[in-house]
Formats: sequence, structure tokens, C-alpha cells
Amino acid sequence: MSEKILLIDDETEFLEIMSERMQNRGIDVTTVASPKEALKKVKEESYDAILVDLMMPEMDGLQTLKALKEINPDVQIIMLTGHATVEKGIEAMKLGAMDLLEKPADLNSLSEKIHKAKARKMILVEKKTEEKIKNIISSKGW
Amino acid sequence: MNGQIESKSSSGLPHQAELHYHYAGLQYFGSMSASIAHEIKNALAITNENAGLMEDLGLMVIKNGQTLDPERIIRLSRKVMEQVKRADNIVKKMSRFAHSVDDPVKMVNICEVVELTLDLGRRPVASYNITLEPVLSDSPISTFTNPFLLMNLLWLVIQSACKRVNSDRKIEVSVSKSDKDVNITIGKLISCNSSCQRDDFPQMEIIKLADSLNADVDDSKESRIVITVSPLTK
Repeated sequence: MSEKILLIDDETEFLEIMSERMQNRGIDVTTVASPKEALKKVKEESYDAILVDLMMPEMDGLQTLKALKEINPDVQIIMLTGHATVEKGIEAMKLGAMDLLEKPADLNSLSEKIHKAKARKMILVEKKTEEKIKNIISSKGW
Repeated sequence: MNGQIESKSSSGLPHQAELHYHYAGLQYFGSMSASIAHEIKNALAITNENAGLMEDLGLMVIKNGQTLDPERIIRLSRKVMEQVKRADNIVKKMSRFAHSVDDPVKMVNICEVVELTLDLGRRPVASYNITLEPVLSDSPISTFTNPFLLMNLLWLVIQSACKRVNSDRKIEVSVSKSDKDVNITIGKLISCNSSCQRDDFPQMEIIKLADSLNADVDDSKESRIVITVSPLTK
């Protein structure tokens, strides 16, 4: 089954070309050029991974990361950045980013990270389902 | 003796404060350089992906025997060339910015200084959803000044002006000549009445920079701030 990802970047040309290359690799890509649009999408859909540019108009990448995590704490976020500083990287990780990649990124290593993100998400979903079942069993007193 | 608190620089200011003002210039240089780096990285990222797509298409031909559309390759090559041009423009601006510290005082076209300051500051202010609009004449308006310090002063004033933007979130910057002086007007702001927090404008960095430049920063006019630059002696 292919990975389903959301790519957020204000550079529309980057979005176009990146999504074509990812689709060629069997990844299901949705692109948005604004963080606000991304927040709407995440409320409506579930993604295996979300790729976020660190510096965007409207809302910077870290604010977007925070807002995305508030909507869904289990969402797997990979930050993409044109100017990574150690401080920003640490901040992103503290806020719950799964990884941080510097632009221009190598698509093979990015695909690997997306694959890992999906695996992590599946573990989290399985855990939650297990918990739900446990809760149902204990509440029913079987 | 407690030298850490009491010590003062030759200007009479505590060393800490003096250091802070010198650091302001470096901070401006640093933040603009970081913004430039980000722009170049974006152009490189798009170039990289276009080249990568060309490689993908080539591999598809080799592995799957698919036919290659030459028009597609031409379009991709053009996109690469566009990004090279974009990166080249950014580097040209970076070079002009770097050379702004070459001479302490020189004759400069203020319109060009303003244009460069706005170009460099466009991305940082975009994160607050604000756009900068230059309204500049084609004919030069020149004076003797320090271009780097003037850019730094204008940037600090623009940053303060960002707290006073109208609902259209645009800041207009124009240049005009008045006798020997040059006026840089930062306009389209909300007027500072009781509902508008004046903050502590102008901050000490702005006052110190204006002093060094023989300039005056006036925010008493409604909905605009005017920087009046008087010529420095060479």
C-alpha cells in the first residue's frame, strides 16, 4: 500500500515537481501552498506523513508544526528547511517533529523517512486500537 | 571592585549597552544573510528536483522502454535555467549588500538603497503576512551617507511599522528630495492614536543609528514615519 503524504511549501514550483517525482515512486501526494490550507486538510484527511517547509509566509514552519500537532498529536511531521540551524532543529524535535531535512533534499532518503513515518503511524494506530479494545472489555465487565 | 556592572565605555554608556548597539548592525547583517541563504536554497531545491525528474524520465526509458517527450525535456531545462537566473539575481543582491560596508561615507542613490532594503526584507516580513511596496522615482535621489547604516535604520523602522499596518497589510516606502535632505517615507500605516500602542518608538537602536547618520526619525505625522537623511561629510 502506498504512503499518503501532505506536502506544505510556499514555493509552488517546488510543490509541482516534487509531487510528480513522488507520484512516480508510488507515493500519494497532496500539496498545499499555505499553512492555513494545510490545517484544513489535516482536519479532513489522515496522512502517513506531513512535510513542512520551515519558513513560510502567514505562519512559520514551527507554528504550523504546533498547530498540526494540536489537531492530531499522532501525525508524523518531517520538516524541510532552506536554512537549518541547530537551535531550530532542536526546537522542531521538541515540538514533536519526526525528522528535519535540509533543502535540497535527496529524494531517496526522503522516501525512506516517509516510509519510517508510515510505520510509526501504524504502530501508534495499533496501540490506540488495542487500548480501545481493552477499555471496551473492561467497561463491559466480560 | 565590581567591574561587571560599573564599567563604562568611552561614550559614557555601560559596556553592555554599547555592545548591544554594535551588535544590532551585525544582527541585521546576519538576519538578511540567513534570508538570502533561504532564498538560494529554495532555488537550488527546485533546480535539484528538475534535474532529478530528468534523471527519472531517462531511467524510465532505459528500464521500461518508455518514449521520451523532447518537449518535456526542453520545458524542464527551461525551468532549471529560470532557477539559475533567480539564484543569480539573489546573489547579485547579496553582493550589493555585502559591498554596502565598503566605505563609511559615499554618494549613494537613496532609491537604490531603499529598493535593496525592501527586496531583502520582503521574505522576513512575509511571515507576518505583510508586503512591502516601493514607490520610487526612476531618476536618482542621491546624498552622501553610509549605505549600510541607512539600510539598518530603515529596516528597524519597518520592523516597528509592522505593528502599525492597515487591514490591507501593506507598507509603502517612498523617497523624496527636500532641499539638501532626502526623506524616506514609510506610509500606509494606521495613525497612532489612543488605540494604537506606540510601543517605545523610536527605540534606542534607532536613535543611535539616526544620530550616526545625521538623520531624523519623525513619527508625529498621521499614518506615516519619515526618516530625514541629511548629508554626511566625506
